[in-house]
Amino acid sequence: METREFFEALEKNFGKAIHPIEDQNGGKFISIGVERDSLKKVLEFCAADSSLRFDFLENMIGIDAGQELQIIYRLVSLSLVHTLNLKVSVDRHSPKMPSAHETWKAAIYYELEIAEMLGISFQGHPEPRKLLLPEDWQGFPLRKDYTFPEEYHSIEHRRAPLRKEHTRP
Amino acid sequence: MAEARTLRLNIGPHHSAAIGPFRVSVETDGEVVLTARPDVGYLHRGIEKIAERMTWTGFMPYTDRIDYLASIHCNLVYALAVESLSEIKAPERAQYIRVIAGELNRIASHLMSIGTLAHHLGAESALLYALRDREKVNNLFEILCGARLTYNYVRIGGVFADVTEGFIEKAYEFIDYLVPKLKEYNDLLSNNQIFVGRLAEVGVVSASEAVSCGVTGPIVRGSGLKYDVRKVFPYCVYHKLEFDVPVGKGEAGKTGDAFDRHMVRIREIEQSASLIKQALDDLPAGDYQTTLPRIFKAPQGEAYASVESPRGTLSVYISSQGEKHPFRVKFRTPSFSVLNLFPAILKDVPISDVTTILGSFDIMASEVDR
Repeated sequence: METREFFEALEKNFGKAIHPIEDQNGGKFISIGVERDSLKKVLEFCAADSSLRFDFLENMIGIDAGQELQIIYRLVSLSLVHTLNLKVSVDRHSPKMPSAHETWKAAIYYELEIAEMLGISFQGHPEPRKLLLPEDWQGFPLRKDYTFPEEYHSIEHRRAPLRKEHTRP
Repeated sequence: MAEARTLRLNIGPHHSAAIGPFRVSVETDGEVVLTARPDVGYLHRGIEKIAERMTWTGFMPYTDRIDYLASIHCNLVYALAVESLSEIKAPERAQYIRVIAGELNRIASHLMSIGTLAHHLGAESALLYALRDREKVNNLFEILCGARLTYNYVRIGGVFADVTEGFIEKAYEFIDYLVPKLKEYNDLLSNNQIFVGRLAEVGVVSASEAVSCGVTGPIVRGSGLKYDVRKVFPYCVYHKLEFDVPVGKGEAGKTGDAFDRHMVRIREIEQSASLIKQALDDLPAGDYQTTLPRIFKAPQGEAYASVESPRGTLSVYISSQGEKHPFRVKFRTPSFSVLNLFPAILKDVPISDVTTILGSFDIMASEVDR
């Protein structure tokens, strides 16, 4: 199945909650936007529908896109051999998302990572905690406005500002 | 009546059942594990954040450190994603060299995994045998690219050095040497009653559980599901080569137990050897690299690539704003998803089986943490 057909199937069931197909660069990475409020139902539909059967959540990608934060759900159907990317935007000031762990257990750890790296809280996550970072780490490192700490438990660390030019002299 | 008491026990962070620092906190009642919780992050280096400060080409050596037992695959997946985004086509010869290097790397990684699993069960000699053979792969890589572990060999648009006559000859020699040696591993381990007894019906993972948890690679194939990125979504020249995808058949009792995972790895070495031989036979003449502009900028947009690393599906998502450095790089590593299996699999098992199960999962700490 092609993304066009996925889009039609989703739009038939969810109407306005599905955004048009996003294809910036000629078919290399095609994604379909989904409204956050309908996300849980859309994901459940993707996993259960007999013509989609997305049984495998390959990846969850959190991105800081400036105005808003985005999450891409990379779905794969192992039985029907097709893939789909769903893109969801969330407000960066109060980022809240429904947890997908009831549909795929794989979401548990992806969500933990996104939560600590981008500060998105997942509603209904079974065990929210810091995964890769220390418990007392401040800030969300993968946000674009993150400032690197200069001190952590009396370990001083100063780094050179990001070089503007990478050319050789 | 005596009060029920449980004991919390830490397995790790320095434990040989995981390669790299990795802790499992288990709650035990006597000899039985009640719950297990993985604690990771000891090796977190923030590679995805580092990528945002690096140039597109300059980031390549960092990908080595994601999984240092399968560096070629980490190099490759990043190169494939950037190539897809910027419409660079690596020459045919480079594609074959990538397959050869990738499969050699898979053999080295699987040998390490088989050896360390046996080592955890007390079979010291198997590890030494495995290291002996892995050393030969390392020597081959040294001829190929000068490095023995972190190769930094695959480049955007090709590979960084061509194969030499000496390498091709030695690679053929190695394949002829390795295939008969697999019988030695089978005699030493796979047909050894003590070894089979320790692995049989231990850590049984059902195919549906594995898929729901996002687990791939030898674990999901050990559970009987024929899923291999090389077959399902072929990359490089895998669609031109012939190979089988071995799956677990429950030879020692139940499908999806630790023994099935062990056998899948042994059989994959055989398949990898055959793939290397085919790729060496078909190796076309020509360029091994395309020339990139001195200051390389990937065009604006997004791309995604997946490869089959020794531990499963390794993917990367890249996003570009048309600048010299990536806007976002996100790696999907196979060992990370294995953590989802812990609550279900490490439950009601004896402590002695925990190392067996962890060893058969072949978890790579640097890959979990990135």
